Amino acid sequence: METGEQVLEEARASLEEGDLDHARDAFRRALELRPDDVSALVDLGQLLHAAGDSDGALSCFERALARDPGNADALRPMIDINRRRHRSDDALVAARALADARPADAVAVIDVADLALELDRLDEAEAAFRRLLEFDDDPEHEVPYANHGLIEIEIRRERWRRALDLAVDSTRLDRLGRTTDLLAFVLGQVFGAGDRPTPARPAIEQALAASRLEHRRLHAGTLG
Amino acid sequence: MAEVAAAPRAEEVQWTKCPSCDAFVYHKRLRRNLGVCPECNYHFRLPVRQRLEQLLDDGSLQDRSAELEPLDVLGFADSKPYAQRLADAQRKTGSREGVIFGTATIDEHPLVVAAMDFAFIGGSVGSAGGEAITQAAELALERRAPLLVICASGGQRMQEGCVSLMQMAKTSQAIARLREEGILVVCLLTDPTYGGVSASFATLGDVLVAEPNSYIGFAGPKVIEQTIRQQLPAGFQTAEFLLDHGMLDLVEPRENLQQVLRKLLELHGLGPASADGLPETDGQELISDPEALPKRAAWDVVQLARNLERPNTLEYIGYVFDDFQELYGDRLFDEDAAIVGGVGRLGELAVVVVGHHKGHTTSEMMERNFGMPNPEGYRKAMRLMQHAASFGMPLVTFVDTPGAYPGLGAEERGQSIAIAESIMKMARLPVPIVTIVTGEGGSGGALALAVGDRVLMLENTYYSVISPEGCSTILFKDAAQAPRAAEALRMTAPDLLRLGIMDGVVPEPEGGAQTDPPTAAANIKAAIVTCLRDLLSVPRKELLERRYDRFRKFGAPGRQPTLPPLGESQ
Repeated sequence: METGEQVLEEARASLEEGDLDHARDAFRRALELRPDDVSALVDLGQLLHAAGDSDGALSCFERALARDPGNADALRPMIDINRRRHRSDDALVAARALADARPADAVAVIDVADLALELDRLDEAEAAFRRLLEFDDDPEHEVPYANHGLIEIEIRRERWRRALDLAVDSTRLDRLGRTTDLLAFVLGQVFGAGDRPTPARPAIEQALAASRLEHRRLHAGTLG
Repeated sequence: MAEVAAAPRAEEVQWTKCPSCDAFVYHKRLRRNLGVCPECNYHFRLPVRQRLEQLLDDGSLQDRSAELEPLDVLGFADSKPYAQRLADAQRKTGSREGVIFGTATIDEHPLVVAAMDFAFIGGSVGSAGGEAITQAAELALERRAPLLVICASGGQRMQEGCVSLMQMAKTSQAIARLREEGILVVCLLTDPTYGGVSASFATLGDVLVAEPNSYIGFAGPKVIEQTIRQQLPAGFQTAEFLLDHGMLDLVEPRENLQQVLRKLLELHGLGPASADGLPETDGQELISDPEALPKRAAWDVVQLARNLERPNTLEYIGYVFDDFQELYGDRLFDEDAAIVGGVGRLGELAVVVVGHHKGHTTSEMMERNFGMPNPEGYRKAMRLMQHAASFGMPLVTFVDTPGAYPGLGAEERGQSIAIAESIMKMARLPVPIVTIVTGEGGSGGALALAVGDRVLMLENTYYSVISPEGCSTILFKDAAQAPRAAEALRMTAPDLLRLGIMDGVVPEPEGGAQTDPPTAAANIKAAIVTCLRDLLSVPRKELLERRYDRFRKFGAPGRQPTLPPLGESQ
């Protein structure tokens, strides 16, 4: 009679070879023998996610997280699934757990900042950007995206003086001049509209989100 | 009964999300797939050790970089002291510096390798990185072993100020010595290769290979956008973009890289060119007696030479040479598909092959500009000629062009200069050259690839100062007189043999080369082997003197044969 470990080995071998259908069946069989196996739950969840069965995937991930709350392989797709379902609250919970479990994971902290901004949880977003400023400080990064995030937060809070200070500071860090529009927008709020054409707030927020996404990709494209 | 399972540690990540297609990929599958997403072919950036594992023979790397230590020459501090930044990078990567170098083998071919680690302060090059590249080059020179440099960098390391800038000069001069000595330098450009690295050793190799979708450039795209205030086109500065613009030899998927490197090492490691390495052939012998050739109307020959079904250069190369590795680009402006070339093997002899290429179908012909090169095509050819000279490889050229492209851009970019330089380059190239006209030999555009020690033509081809149509219009004042002009120009094999323009004629199968390409190619192969067997024993100085004399005699009083007027017995 085959053991759970044997079936798991079979499942993982199929997974490695790219035979995803067989891997899925094998993980299901393995979980009948080892219902609490965290890695099997995660792997099955990932396979269900890839096959488009988001409910099945979430169920697996939740069961895995009950035993291993910081499991990155379960939390990352949960962020994805919840984002796609426009359940940003749930996505933020998963991102927060991932960032707590992996404090130096820039992608996880960017996700927290991004989702908190989306949900208007400005204090949490600010904390996340400040965290990024502490450890994601590679001088090769061309865009001071975390500084821009802090400016965006002050804009939302309508604390214009603070936004202005941050924008002025940010121009010193920004050799690409990407802060110029932000600075112009804040100046417009402080002193009224001037002659310089200034993008509207939605356009500025869109550009900042794109900058964060671009930065996120830089991190995500590197195998550790 | 349920078994008890232990929870894995949270940091053991088994799934990686692809930033390109968003698919989660099982880590072992990703690793097995060499770090390439199996769903969308996205090439992840690889840790340097993993990169070396993929390319080198198991356990062959003898790391010599352990002693290298970065210097904090300026006592630099930004948001944190440079010394602390270095310590952080060393802790993160487990390396003393961002470049590993040493000796290794690829499929048992020895080489020196230097590989950059982007994870180490963005792959930036400071004193120790420059030292690693330089020591690698010096070691390659000492051992006369090929050098492979694997590049991944944002540029020079600012924290070391001008000392880091000087690494560009230090590494470039080290590579230059290898180039002067004919020691192969291959640069593998991975994502990203920018700044001072791309503007020094990374682009100075004899062969530049890049991974798909790698970003390569001098200034970053955002800096350029900000400077010119324009949005850049999609794909700007990707490897494919650079290949299209003639800056790279090859863009190869990760799965092919080891194979391509193996082939390059093998071709460049065959040893000195010697007739002993030439293969036995079974093609028909060259014809040097004009009377032995069938008598055909010149206009019929022109039609045969232009037959779209005739084999083209890449097809002949496929029949004649083994392990051919095509190389692309002029490294100046563009990749011109009207001229193809690369390195191949003829028996145990490595040769450089260059030729015009037309294609068969309308779309192929358009892609190849109907075999009419722009200046960048000739500049690519010259680059490959220099490659032949650097490595002592004989040069074989195939000629099949209606002429150089008569276009506005071609003139702007110096078509005349490119042709002139190509002619001069061939005239003084210190290796044997065999040229075969395989279709149309259209004027200066053909001659630019035809200044050989032996110049041959296939039986049903022509070589002329102008097309029959052009001559007919200009001199006969009637385009319909092209057949008459073709006869008058004496552009076919028997007359060109009599005039001494041709040294021999390669027989074609009955009905033309297109009826039996393998036989036509076998005859070409036999002709090349015959010529090289003679030429390889000639000392370099004498080879150049003989070549000088070969072209010196044309039109020289008392040395230039003349033909009787048409209609009189020859």
